[in-house]
Amino acid sequence: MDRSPPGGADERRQWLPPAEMTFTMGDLPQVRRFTEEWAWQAGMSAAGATDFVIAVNEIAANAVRHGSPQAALRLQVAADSLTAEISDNGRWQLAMPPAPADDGARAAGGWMGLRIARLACDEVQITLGAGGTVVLLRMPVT
Amino acid sequence: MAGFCPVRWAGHSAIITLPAEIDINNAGQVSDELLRVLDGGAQLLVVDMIRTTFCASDGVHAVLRAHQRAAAMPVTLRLAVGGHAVRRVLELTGTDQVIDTYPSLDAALAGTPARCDGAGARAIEDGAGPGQQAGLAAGE
Repeated sequence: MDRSPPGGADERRQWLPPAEMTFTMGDLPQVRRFTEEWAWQAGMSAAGATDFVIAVNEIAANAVRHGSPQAALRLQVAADSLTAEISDNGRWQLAMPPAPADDGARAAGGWMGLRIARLACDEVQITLGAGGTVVLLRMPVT
Repeated sequence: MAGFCPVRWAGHSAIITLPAEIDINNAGQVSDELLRVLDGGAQLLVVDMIRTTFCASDGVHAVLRAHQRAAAMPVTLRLAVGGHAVRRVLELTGTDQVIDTYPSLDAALAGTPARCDGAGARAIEDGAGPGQQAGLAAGE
Protein backbone atom coordinates (compact mmCIF):
# COMPACT_ATOMS: atom_id res chain seq x y z
CA MET A 1 0.00 0.00 0.00
CA ASP A 2 1.35 3.43 -0.89
CA ARG A 3 2.71 5.24 2.17
CA SER A 4 3.45 8.62 0.56
CA PRO A 5 2.55 11.76 2.54
CA PRO A 6 -1.11 12.84 2.24
CA GLY A 7 -0.29 15.85 0.07
CA GLY A 8 1.29 13.65 -2.58
CA ALA A 9 -1.61 11.22 -2.60
CA ASP A 10 -4.15 14.06 -2.89
CA GLU A 11 -2.33 15.47 -5.89
CA ARG A 12 -2.17 12.09 -7.59
CA ARG A 13 -5.88 11.56 -6.95
CA GLN A 14 -6.88 14.82 -8.66
CA TRP A 15 -5.19 13.62 -11.83
CA LEU A 16 -6.87 10.23 -11.80
CA PRO A 17 -9.26 10.11 -14.75
CA PRO A 18 -12.77 8.70 -14.37
CA ALA A 19 -13.07 5.00 -15.10
CA GLU A 20 -16.06 3.44 -16.82
CA MET A 21 -17.27 -0.01 -17.66
CA THR A 22 -20.52 -1.63 -18.75
CA PHE A 23 -21.55 -4.92 -17.24
CA THR A 24 -24.13 -7.67 -17.10
CA MET A 25 -24.93 -9.91 -14.15
CA GLY A 26 -22.14 -12.33 -14.97
CA ASP A 27 -19.61 -9.50 -14.96
CA LEU A 28 -20.06 -8.61 -11.29
CA PRO A 29 -16.73 -10.19 -10.25
CA GLN A 30 -15.00 -7.94 -12.80
CA VAL A 31 -16.97 -4.95 -11.53
CA ARG A 32 -15.59 -5.63 -8.06
CA ARG A 33 -11.99 -5.99 -9.24
CA PHE A 34 -12.29 -2.89 -11.44
CA THR A 35 -13.65 -0.86 -8.52
CA GLU A 36 -11.07 -2.13 -6.03
CA GLU A 37 -8.14 -1.40 -8.34
CA TRP A 38 -9.40 2.10 -9.04
CA ALA A 39 -10.06 2.81 -5.35
CA TRP A 40 -6.49 1.83 -4.50
CA GLN A 41 -5.17 4.07 -7.27
CA ALA A 42 -7.26 6.86 -5.79
CA GLY A 43 -5.52 6.39 -2.45
CA MET A 44 -8.35 4.72 -0.55
CA SER A 45 -7.27 2.62 2.43
CA ALA A 46 -7.82 -1.12 2.34
CA ALA A 47 -10.80 -0.85 4.68
CA GLY A 48 -12.31 2.03 2.72
CA ALA A 49 -11.83 0.23 -0.57
CA THR A 50 -13.52 -2.86 0.88
CA ASP A 51 -16.57 -0.84 1.91
CA PHE A 52 -16.65 0.89 -1.47
CA VAL A 53 -16.50 -2.40 -3.37
CA ILE A 54 -19.18 -3.92 -1.16
CA ALA A 55 -21.50 -0.99 -1.82
CA VAL A 56 -20.83 -0.82 -5.56
CA ASN A 57 -21.44 -4.55 -5.90
CA GLU A 58 -24.80 -4.37 -4.14
CA ILE A 59 -26.06 -1.50 -6.26
CA ALA A 60 -24.65 -3.00 -9.45
CA ALA A 61 -26.38 -6.30 -8.68
CA ASN A 62 -29.69 -4.51 -8.13
CA ALA A 63 -29.26 -2.64 -11.40
CA VAL A 64 -28.92 -5.80 -13.49
CA ARG A 65 -31.36 -7.81 -11.42
CA HIS A 66 -34.22 -5.31 -11.45
CA GLY A 67 -33.23 -2.58 -13.89
CA SER A 68 -31.88 -3.77 -17.20
CA PRO A 69 -29.70 -6.69 -18.35
CA GLN A 70 -26.82 -4.33 -19.00
CA ALA A 71 -25.80 -1.44 -16.78
CA ALA A 72 -22.93 1.02 -16.56
CA LEU A 73 -20.48 2.00 -13.84
CA ARG A 74 -18.59 5.27 -13.72
CA LEU A 75 -15.99 5.89 -11.01
CA GLN A 76 -14.87 9.44 -10.38
CA VAL A 77 -12.82 11.50 -7.97
CA ALA A 78 -14.63 14.33 -6.18
CA ALA A 79 -13.05 16.77 -3.72
CA ASP A 80 -12.32 14.48 -0.77
CA SER A 81 -14.35 11.54 -1.89
CA LEU A 82 -14.80 8.92 -4.52
CA THR A 83 -18.07 8.49 -6.35
CA ALA A 84 -19.57 5.57 -8.17
CA GLU A 85 -22.44 6.12 -10.54
CA ILE A 86 -24.39 3.03 -11.55
CA SER A 87 -26.84 3.56 -14.41
CA ASP A 88 -29.32 1.19 -15.93
CA ASN A 89 -32.18 1.50 -18.41
CA GLY A 90 -34.90 0.36 -16.05
CA ARG A 91 -36.80 1.73 -13.15
CA TRP A 92 -35.58 -0.73 -10.57
CA GLN A 93 -36.69 1.04 -7.51
CA LEU A 94 -40.21 0.60 -8.71
CA ALA A 95 -39.54 -2.97 -9.91
CA MET A 96 -38.34 -4.15 -6.52
CA PRO A 97 -41.02 -5.71 -4.37
CA PRO A 98 -42.06 -3.75 -1.27
CA ALA A 99 -39.60 -4.05 1.63
CA PRO A 100 -40.67 -7.09 3.60
CA ALA A 101 -40.51 -7.24 7.37
CA ASP A 102 -38.55 -10.49 7.36
CA ASP A 103 -34.79 -9.99 7.23
CA GLY A 104 -34.31 -13.14 5.22
CA ALA A 105 -36.68 -11.99 2.52
CA ARG A 106 -35.08 -8.56 2.42
CA ALA A 107 -31.93 -9.94 0.89
CA ALA A 108 -33.79 -11.76 -1.84
CA GLY A 109 -35.54 -8.61 -2.97
CA GLY A 110 -32.43 -6.48 -3.04
CA TRP A 111 -33.32 -4.48 0.05
CA MET A 112 -30.48 -5.87 2.16
CA GLY A 113 -28.07 -4.71 -0.53
CA LEU A 114 -29.47 -1.20 -0.49
CA ARG A 115 -29.22 -1.08 3.29
CA ILE A 116 -25.61 -2.27 3.14
CA ALA A 117 -24.78 0.47 0.63
CA ARG A 118 -26.38 3.13 2.84
CA LEU A 119 -24.37 1.92 5.85
CA ALA A 120 -21.11 1.75 3.95
CA CYS A 121 -21.35 5.07 2.09
CA ASP A 122 -21.76 8.69 3.11
CA GLU A 123 -24.29 9.25 0.39
CA VAL A 124 -26.58 7.11 -1.72
CA GLN A 125 -28.65 9.05 -4.19
CA ILE A 126 -31.16 7.32 -6.43
CA THR A 127 -32.46 9.23 -9.42
CA LEU A 128 -35.27 7.91 -11.58
CA GLY A 129 -35.22 9.48 -15.01
CA ALA A 130 -36.90 8.93 -18.35
CA GLY A 131 -33.97 6.82 -19.53
CA GLY A 132 -33.60 4.75 -16.43
CA THR A 133 -32.15 4.74 -12.95
CA VAL A 134 -28.92 6.31 -11.75
CA VAL A 135 -27.52 5.57 -8.33
CA LEU A 136 -24.74 7.76 -6.99
CA LEU A 137 -22.57 6.44 -4.16
CA ARG A 138 -20.15 8.73 -2.40
CA MET A 139 -17.44 7.68 0.00
CA PRO A 140 -14.82 9.84 1.65
CA VAL A 141 -11.25 8.91 0.90
CA THR A 142 -9.99 7.43 4.16
CA MET B 1 -25.68 -29.91 -8.47
CA ALA B 2 -23.62 -31.79 -5.89
CA GLY B 3 -19.98 -30.99 -5.24
CA PHE B 4 -20.07 -27.26 -5.88
CA CYS B 5 -19.25 -26.71 -2.20
CA PRO B 6 -17.02 -29.54 -0.93
CA VAL B 7 -18.25 -31.26 2.22
CA ARG B 8 -16.11 -33.17 4.70
CA TRP B 9 -17.57 -35.33 7.45
CA ALA B 10 -16.19 -36.43 10.81
CA GLY B 11 -18.82 -38.44 12.61
CA HIS B 12 -21.87 -36.21 12.89
CA SER B 13 -19.89 -33.05 12.18
CA ALA B 14 -19.71 -31.62 8.70
CA ILE B 15 -17.61 -28.87 7.21
CA ILE B 16 -18.90 -27.27 4.02
CA THR B 17 -16.46 -25.05 2.16
CA LEU B 18 -18.00 -22.09 0.35
CA PRO B 19 -16.62 -20.55 -2.86
CA ALA B 20 -14.00 -17.81 -2.94
CA GLU B 21 -16.61 -15.27 -4.02
CA ILE B 22 -20.34 -15.43 -3.44
CA ASP B 23 -22.71 -13.12 -5.26
CA ILE B 24 -26.03 -13.26 -7.06
CA ASN B 25 -24.53 -15.55 -9.70
CA ASN B 26 -23.83 -18.48 -7.39
CA ALA B 27 -25.68 -17.77 -4.14
CA GLY B 28 -28.59 -19.98 -5.19
CA GLN B 29 -26.30 -22.98 -5.59
CA VAL B 30 -24.63 -22.21 -2.29
CA SER B 31 -28.01 -22.05 -0.59
CA ASP B 32 -29.10 -25.36 -2.10
CA GLU B 33 -25.93 -27.09 -0.96
CA LEU B 34 -26.14 -25.67 2.56
CA LEU B 35 -29.67 -26.99 2.91
CA ARG B 36 -28.68 -30.34 1.40
CA VAL B 37 -25.87 -30.91 3.88
CA LEU B 38 -28.22 -30.00 6.74
CA ASP B 39 -30.58 -32.68 5.48
CA GLY B 40 -27.66 -35.12 5.57
CA GLY B 41 -27.83 -35.65 9.34
CA ALA B 42 -25.12 -33.33 10.64
CA GLN B 43 -25.37 -32.37 14.32
CA LEU B 44 -22.73 -29.70 13.84
CA LEU B 45 -22.28 -27.85 10.57
CA VAL B 46 -19.29 -25.60 10.16
CA VAL B 47 -19.66 -23.24 7.23
CA ASP B 48 -16.09 -22.72 6.07
CA MET B 49 -15.65 -19.23 4.64
CA ILE B 50 -11.97 -19.01 5.56
CA ARG B 51 -10.93 -18.73 1.91
CA THR B 52 -13.99 -16.73 0.90
CA THR B 53 -12.75 -13.28 -0.04
CA PHE B 54 -16.10 -11.72 -0.91
CA CYS B 55 -19.70 -12.34 0.09
CA ALA B 56 -22.56 -10.22 -1.25
CA SER B 57 -25.96 -9.85 0.43
CA ASP B 58 -27.16 -12.82 -1.63
CA GLY B 59 -24.56 -14.98 0.13
CA VAL B 60 -25.56 -13.59 3.51
CA HIS B 61 -29.14 -14.53 2.70
CA ALA B 62 -28.07 -18.10 1.89
CA VAL B 63 -26.20 -18.42 5.17
CA LEU B 64 -29.06 -16.88 7.17
CA ARG B 65 -31.51 -19.28 5.54
CA ALA B 66 -29.28 -22.21 6.52
CA HIS B 67 -29.04 -20.82 10.04
CA GLN B 68 -32.82 -20.61 10.31
CA ARG B 69 -33.22 -24.18 9.06
CA ALA B 70 -30.48 -25.43 11.40
CA ALA B 71 -32.07 -23.75 14.41
CA ALA B 72 -35.37 -25.47 13.66
CA MET B 73 -33.91 -28.97 13.29
CA PRO B 74 -31.95 -28.36 15.60
CA VAL B 75 -28.42 -28.45 14.28
CA THR B 76 -25.54 -26.32 15.54
CA LEU B 77 -24.33 -24.08 12.73
CA ARG B 78 -21.14 -22.06 13.01
CA LEU B 79 -19.30 -19.81 10.58
CA ALA B 80 -15.54 -19.80 10.12
CA VAL B 81 -14.59 -16.50 8.52
CA GLY B 82 -11.15 -15.31 7.46
CA GLY B 83 -11.36 -12.41 5.01
CA HIS B 84 -11.91 -8.78 5.93
CA ALA B 85 -14.58 -8.13 3.31
CA VAL B 86 -16.66 -11.07 4.52
CA ARG B 87 -16.33 -10.05 8.17
CA ARG B 88 -17.34 -6.54 7.17
CA VAL B 89 -20.50 -7.65 5.37
CA LEU B 90 -21.47 -9.85 8.31
CA GLU B 91 -20.95 -6.84 10.56
CA LEU B 92 -22.92 -4.44 8.33
CA THR B 93 -25.86 -6.85 8.18
CA GLY B 94 -25.73 -7.76 11.87
CA THR B 95 -25.28 -11.40 10.90
CA ASP B 96 -22.30 -11.73 13.22
CA GLN B 97 -24.69 -11.10 16.10
CA VAL B 98 -27.05 -13.82 14.95
CA ILE B 99 -24.72 -16.63 13.89
CA ASP B 100 -21.75 -17.84 15.97
CA THR B 101 -18.70 -16.78 14.01
CA TYR B 102 -15.10 -17.90 14.48
CA PRO B 103 -11.76 -16.78 13.06
CA SER B 104 -10.54 -20.28 12.18
CA LEU B 105 -11.80 -23.74 11.32
CA ASP B 106 -10.30 -25.18 14.50
CA ALA B 107 -12.06 -22.59 16.62
CA ALA B 108 -15.36 -23.23 14.83
CA LEU B 109 -15.08 -26.99 15.31
CA ALA B 110 -14.22 -26.60 18.98
CA GLY B 111 -16.76 -23.86 19.55
CA THR B 112 -14.21 -21.74 21.41
CA PRO B 113 -13.58 -18.90 21.66
CA ALA B 114 -16.85 -17.47 20.40
CA ARG B 115 -16.70 -14.07 18.70
CA CYS B 116 -20.27 -12.96 18.99
CA ASP B 117 -22.85 -12.65 21.75
CA GLY B 118 -24.82 -15.65 20.59
CA ALA B 119 -25.59 -19.03 22.11
CA GLY B 120 -22.00 -20.12 21.51
CA ALA B 121 -20.71 -17.62 24.06
CA ARG B 122 -23.21 -18.73 26.69
CA ALA B 123 -22.35 -22.37 26.08
CA ILE B 124 -18.67 -21.66 26.65
CA GLU B 125 -19.38 -19.96 29.93
CA ASP B 126 -21.27 -23.09 30.97
CA GLY B 127 -18.21 -25.15 30.09
CA ALA B 128 -19.99 -27.17 27.38
CA GLY B 129 -18.06 -28.91 24.58
CA PRO B 130 -19.21 -29.14 20.98
CA GLY B 131 -21.40 -32.20 21.54
CA GLN B 132 -23.15 -30.63 24.47
CA GLN B 133 -23.53 -27.36 22.61
CA ALA B 134 -25.84 -29.11 20.18
CA GLY B 135 -27.92 -30.11 23.18
CA LEU B 136 -27.94 -26.59 24.53
CA ALA B 137 -29.10 -25.27 21.18
CA ALA B 138 -31.89 -27.81 21.26
CA GLY B 139 -32.92 -26.66 24.70
CA GLU B 140 -33.19 -22.97 23.84
